[in-house]
Amino acid sequence: MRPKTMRKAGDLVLIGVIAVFALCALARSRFFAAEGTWVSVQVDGTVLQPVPLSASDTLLIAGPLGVTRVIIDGGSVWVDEAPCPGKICKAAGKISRAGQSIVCVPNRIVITVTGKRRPGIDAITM
Amino acid sequence: MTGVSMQKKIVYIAVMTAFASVLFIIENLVSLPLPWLRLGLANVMTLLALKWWGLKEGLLITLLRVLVGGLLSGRFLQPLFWMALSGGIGAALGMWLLFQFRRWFSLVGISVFGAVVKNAIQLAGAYLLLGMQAGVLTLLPLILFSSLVSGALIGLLGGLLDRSLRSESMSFHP
Repeated sequence: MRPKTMRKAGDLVLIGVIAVFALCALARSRFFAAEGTWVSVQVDGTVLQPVPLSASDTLLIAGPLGVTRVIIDGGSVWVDEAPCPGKICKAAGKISRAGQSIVCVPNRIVITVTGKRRPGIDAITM
Repeated sequence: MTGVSMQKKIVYIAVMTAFASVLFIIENLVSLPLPWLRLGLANVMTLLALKWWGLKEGLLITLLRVLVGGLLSGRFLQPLFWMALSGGIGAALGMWLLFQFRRWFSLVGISVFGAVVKNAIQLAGAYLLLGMQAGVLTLLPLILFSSLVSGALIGLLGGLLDRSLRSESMSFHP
């Protein structure tokens, strides 16, 4: 019995288009992005004070599920301990380039590495 | 439709919903080493329902599966439930759309498209849920790659199930 699946031209076109698009997007974010400068953390819609990526620091971030421990060291940032069920944020590993991020949906935390420009408030005038 | 074939169809839909719910729950229990690589095995039942009957039955199985899975996993009406619901409906609609062009697409292509739609919707959901941080969208390429893999696997599995159920020895096929 010859399998009938994977026999149609549309499949290859569809898969090819998606793969090329994903590769381009990946190349853009991975290889052409500048080294990051700041770590910006956001919990449940609130942006916390950005931390320089060059620092050695441990952040304890309280989300709806509990405390997520984030470590900044050696120019990269990663989630060390998380209370969420999936631990996808932990599995995301270390990030260091501008534009990369770690996302934890259950605990509502987004950790983003940004470039030269300091994230958040640009200036305060009085 | 005669009474007997209607009854038969109800039984098929019930059994497929049960299968889909179990697959959905098992998959949620397994914590994978790689992020964003859930297969979405439950989608194979939606794929078969769309192939055997149509949009109505495909959506019905998807909705029931998300409902049962949500209740049993304790996530009913929580964010992850809404993401599963919107992703499931999107995948069913996307796959149905490609079924209209059956001449050009096999189950693999249809299933890949369903996985892409599902994951794109869930990414958009995460983006909204987490306060529209642009950082969330950088996960798009990874999610697209994992959709290709999971979609293709589920398409192959669907084809296998369809062929074996249709064979002479098994008279399960509707």
